[in-house]
Amino acid sequence: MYQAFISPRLVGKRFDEHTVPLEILRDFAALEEMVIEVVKWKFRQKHTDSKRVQRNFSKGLELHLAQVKDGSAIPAIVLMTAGLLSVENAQYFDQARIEIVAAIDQAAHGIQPVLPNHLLSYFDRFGRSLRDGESIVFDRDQQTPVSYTPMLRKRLVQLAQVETWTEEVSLRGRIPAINQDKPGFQLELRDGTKLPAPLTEQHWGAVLDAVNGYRAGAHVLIQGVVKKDRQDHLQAFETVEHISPLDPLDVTLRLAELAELKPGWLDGKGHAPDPDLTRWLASAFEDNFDASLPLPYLYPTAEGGIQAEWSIGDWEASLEIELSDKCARLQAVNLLTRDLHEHDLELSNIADWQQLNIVLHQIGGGAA
Amino acid sequence: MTPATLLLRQIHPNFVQAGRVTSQAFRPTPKDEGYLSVNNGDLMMPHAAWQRFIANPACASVGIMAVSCGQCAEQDLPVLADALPYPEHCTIDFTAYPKNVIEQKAKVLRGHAQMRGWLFFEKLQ
Repeated sequence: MYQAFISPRLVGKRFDEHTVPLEILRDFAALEEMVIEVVKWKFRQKHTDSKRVQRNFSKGLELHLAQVKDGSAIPAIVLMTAGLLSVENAQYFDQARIEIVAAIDQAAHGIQPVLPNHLLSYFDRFGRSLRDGESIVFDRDQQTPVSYTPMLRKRLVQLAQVETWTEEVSLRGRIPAINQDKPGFQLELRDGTKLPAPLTEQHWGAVLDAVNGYRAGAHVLIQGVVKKDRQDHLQAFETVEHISPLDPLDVTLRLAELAELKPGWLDGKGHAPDPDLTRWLASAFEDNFDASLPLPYLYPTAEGGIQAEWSIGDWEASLEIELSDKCARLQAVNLLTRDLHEHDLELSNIADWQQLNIVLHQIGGGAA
Repeated sequence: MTPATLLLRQIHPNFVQAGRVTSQAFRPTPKDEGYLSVNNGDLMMPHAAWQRFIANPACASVGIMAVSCGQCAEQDLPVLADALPYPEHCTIDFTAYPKNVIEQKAKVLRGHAQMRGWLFFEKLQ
């Protein structure tokens, strides 16, 4: 048997097609654990004379995803029971749902949630798959909806005062060595930080290739879950999901390098690129640059911008990017014929990225 | 100087990625007011030009590339043997052109220099 339990709205680009990415289901599995623990806590609050929660209290109780309704994407989550749920027990589940949503709302308003810290710590896993710009919206009876965002998740975890918390990350770095004794390795980040990581059978080959390429500067991208301390410092990988070798021209990696330039980098002159805007550019490239085109070579400009360049057959192309106003000048010259393409682009505009992709395809960049 | 004379250009480390040099290395920056500094390769060896340049702690260079006087002439770029601040110093004069034309010419010069390869490269020492 089942009864409706909660139907939050998932908001963000990933949910626009009214589908739910499988990785989000992990978050709802964590929510299930949290609900059961909050129910027990509510039970104990009411039955102060009883130290122990009824044995088998949660046996046969599970949250299930029944369907995904239209809307941005609305997972309809129901409470499954082995038999009839008593009215009293059903109330505990309702109260648990209300308390959890209230905790999010309290954190949003800078108030310490009523839920105790050990229950707040479940927010470490519930919401971990959310990306920037995404949220889970909970509607409430006669109250304004509550929007649960990655920022609020972080605040709730901080309020739980846990020693370590976790976060899904994509990190670039090099792998200097493998520990074969206790299978593991370290990912060396640009700032020299070395993050221990577990090594599983399926990643052995990728890690070995990275170790062999270490001296030649081979970098990898690791997607997984990292542990952080309360000061937000990276501690170690808890799990590693994917390891991918990086192209030597990887845009994000190169831009991270250029973001570290200091004023005066060009023989005492030369403005340094703004680190935040450089990160914005990396993200814009990731989102909008046609993956079938050759990656650009990237250089700083004396004025604090970035210049992307491509050598494609007889063509030399450059995109001189002014970070402060996100504008760029595209110029492609054929060194033999002197044919010329010149365009002014606004890189905050997706259509202008498409224009860049089209020109690079026209000059042969996308040729098979 | 003859059309074959090589004009030696210092290459800043940040102007190289994976062995490829940016076209910016072959055009003046705004502070240069349209003149690109080079050394006369008939009067100076690449290694000596590099050593003198990096003797100034404020200056960085990973090596030397070059274009010839003839290649500058093809681009209608005058080469001035100004001998300032030292006898081997020359400038390539871009002052007659607007920015977008300067960039086109820099791309052509970069292509010539890349084809010629490094005349001196610090890490190969």
